[in-house]
Amino acid sequence: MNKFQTHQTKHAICTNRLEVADGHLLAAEDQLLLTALKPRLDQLMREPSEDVLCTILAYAELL
Amino acid sequence: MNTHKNLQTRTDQELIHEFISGYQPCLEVLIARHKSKIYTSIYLLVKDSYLAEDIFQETFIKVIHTLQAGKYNEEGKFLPWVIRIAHNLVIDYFRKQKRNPVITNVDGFDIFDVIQFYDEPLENMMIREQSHQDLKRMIQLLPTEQKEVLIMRHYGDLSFKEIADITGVSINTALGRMRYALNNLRKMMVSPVLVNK
Repeated sequence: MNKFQTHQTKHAICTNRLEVADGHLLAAEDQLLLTALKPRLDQLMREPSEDVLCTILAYAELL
Repeated sequence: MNTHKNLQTRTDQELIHEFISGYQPCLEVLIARHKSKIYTSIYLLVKDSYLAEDIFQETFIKVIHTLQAGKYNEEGKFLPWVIRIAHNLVIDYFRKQKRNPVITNVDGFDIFDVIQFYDEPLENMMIREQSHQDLKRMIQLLPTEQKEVLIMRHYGDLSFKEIADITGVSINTALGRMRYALNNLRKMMVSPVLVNK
C-alpha cells in the first residue's frame, strides 16, 4: 500500500511541468504550494511591447 | 522550403542552427516562444516595465552576438541560457544603481492589466485583479535572493542546479532560498494585513 502511494506521488511529480526533474528535492508541502500557485504565477506573465521585438529583429538583420 | 508554420514545430536547437546559418525568421520564432517567460522574469525583479524592456532588448542583443559568433554551448538549453544572461544584466543594473543612485518613477500602471479580461463580468474581473495584485505584491515583498529562485524556477523552468550555477551558490542554498520563499508566501497569504489591504 505504501509502495503504491509512493509511486503515485512520484508519478504526479514527474508529469507536472512546473516540477522539473529535481522537484523531489523540495518537501511535499512545498511542491503542493508551488503547484497551487502555478495558475496565479502564470497570470502574472507579461509580454514586452511589439516595438522592442521589432527593434531586436531589425538589429539582427543589420548584422 | 521553410514556412512560419513549419518553424513552429522545430526545436530550439534546430531554430538556433538555422538562424546561425542566416535564416532570420528562426530568431523571430525563438523570441516569440520564450518572450513572456524571459520578460516576466526580468520585470518581477526590476518592477518597471520600461526598464524591463531595455534589459530584455539588451539580453537578446547579447544572445544574437553570441549565436553569430558561434559561441553558444550546444549542450545547454536555450531558455536557461537566456535567463542567465538576463539575470546578469539585472545584477549589473542594480550594481550601477548602487553606485549612482537616482530617483526614478516606478510605473504602476499597465494598460494590459485593464484590458486583458474585458470579456468577463466586472465582479469576476475585480476579484481576479485583486488576486493578481496580491500575489504580485507578495512576490515583491520577498527578499531578492528568494524572489530570484522562485522566478527562475517557475518562469525559466530551471533546475535547482541551474539556479545555483546562475546565482553562484550551492544547490542546498538555492533549495533553502526556495523553502524560505514558499514559507514567506504562506505566512503572507494568511496575514490579514496583506490579504485585506
